Amino acid sequence: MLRRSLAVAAIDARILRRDPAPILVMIVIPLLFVPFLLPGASAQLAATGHAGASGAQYAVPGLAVLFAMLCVQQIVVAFHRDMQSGTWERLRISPAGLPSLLAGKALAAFVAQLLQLGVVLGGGVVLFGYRPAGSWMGIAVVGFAFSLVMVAFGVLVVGAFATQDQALAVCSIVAMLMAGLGGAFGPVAALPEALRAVAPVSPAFWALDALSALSLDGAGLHDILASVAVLFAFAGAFAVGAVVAFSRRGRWS
Amino acid sequence: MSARESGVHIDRVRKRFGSRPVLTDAEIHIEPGQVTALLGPNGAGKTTFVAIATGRLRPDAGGVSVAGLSPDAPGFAALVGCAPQDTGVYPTLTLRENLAGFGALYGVRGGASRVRVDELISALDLDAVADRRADRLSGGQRRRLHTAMALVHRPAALFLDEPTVAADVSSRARIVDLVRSLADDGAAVLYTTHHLDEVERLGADVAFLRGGRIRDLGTVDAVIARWGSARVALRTVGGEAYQVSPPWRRTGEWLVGVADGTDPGRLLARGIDEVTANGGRVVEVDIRRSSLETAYLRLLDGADTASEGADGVAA
Repeated sequence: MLRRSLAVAAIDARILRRDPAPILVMIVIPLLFVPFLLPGASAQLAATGHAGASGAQYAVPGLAVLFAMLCVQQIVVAFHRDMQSGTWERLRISPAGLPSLLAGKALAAFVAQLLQLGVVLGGGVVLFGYRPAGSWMGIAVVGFAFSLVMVAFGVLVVGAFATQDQALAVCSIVAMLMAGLGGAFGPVAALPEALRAVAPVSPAFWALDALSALSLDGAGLHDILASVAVLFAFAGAFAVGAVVAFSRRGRWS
Repeated sequence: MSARESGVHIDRVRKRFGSRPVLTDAEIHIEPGQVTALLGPNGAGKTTFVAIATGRLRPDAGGVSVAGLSPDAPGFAALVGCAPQDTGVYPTLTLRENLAGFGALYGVRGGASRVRVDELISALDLDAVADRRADRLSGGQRRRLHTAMALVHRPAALFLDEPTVAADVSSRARIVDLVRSLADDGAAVLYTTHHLDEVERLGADVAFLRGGRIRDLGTVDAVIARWGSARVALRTVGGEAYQVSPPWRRTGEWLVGVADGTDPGRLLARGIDEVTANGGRVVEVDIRRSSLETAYLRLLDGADTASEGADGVAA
């Protein structure tokens, strides 16, 4: 199964390499936004007890998470591209069963998600002086877990919605909602109470909670393990949902 | 090895979509090295039949086996090569990348992949465009690529659903020759087409599907004999005054009659007896059998006896 999944992933990776524009957009736009958000982020940090912290400590991870969520659209496009080009039927006839196909396509998308998140955070370091006070390893682990969540969510949306337009619309709306609830547009503490109460249903909340602790409070890897565990739980739940959605008799079966 | 452990066996397959029966007890057996052309009008059920044969669709009843394996068995998919009716290629990948990518799915990798990909590119005369993106190929080139992608792993059973549709004359010839050579190497091939000349070029057996049922199955000659007709013409000298009896009619010096395709000699013998009995002599005989197309059209019409219309016959 692994070799067939790798073969599927290699095809998708080659397609992305041939035309990396969708991923590049998700890298360039957040980095373009950072300078515009820095003053507001500094003020928000000061208001939440982090006076003197650079706005980059909040703006860079916030935008990285927001655009990682929007990057889920490329998973939708990757599946529907196969459907539209007639290659999905060929893949289904091949010895790569549905689990191998899903794993292969998810693997390519996961690498793209990691790359997007890593380059945005790295760009924040180089261009805007983003310097986490805590563990870089912790940041890598959160990035890994959050990318898993996003890929599983993307595959779930593909399986659950019949058309590309429906899936892309749902991705955009849910990404914005989750990002807002998670604190990508401003600290969760500054949200109205009703929104604060439901914020933990968003995976972005747990990712940004961990990233804020790592960026601002000097947290170590062990300090963010609970948030990471929740992210893995989200990934698991979305993955199960994705498998159920794809197992139904329908256009993907 | 028993017969069931090799080749393709599709047994009494039934399929309904809602209340509409699409296939009813459809059955075909294809031995290694044999090509069977599945013929029928649009909507006859050919694509559904291919989808069931390749394991893509589950039949309501009946069974499928390839080299003794059912579609649920591990290893079944690796034995099967299929080019569906709609072209399926990655437009932004090159022709070579498409072939290598699908080869890898079937375990054809590394040096073996390079050799096989080059073989197919050469066999289908695609050398000049091997490194061109698929979306920049001509329609015929893309169709050849689509077919080649089903062949990278040298399948034991090959299912080609109208592989030459929209292909130019040269592409059609290349595809047909390649399919024949694969059969010669031992593959069992099911080939759907509307181009009846390809059937004869492939040396294929034919199966006629109409209304979800296999109406006839056999060699081209046998099917023509059963469903076609034969036109028998006798040039006679003397005895012109007598009234010819049906099915004969007189056209100048010629008596012309249409016989059942299975036994034109019987009508010939009757005609000679009749002419001789009426004082004439038969000095020339011309028998022409129908084409596969005539047989096909008669099958589509639901005719069950050969009665008229041998084509292409000069009196």
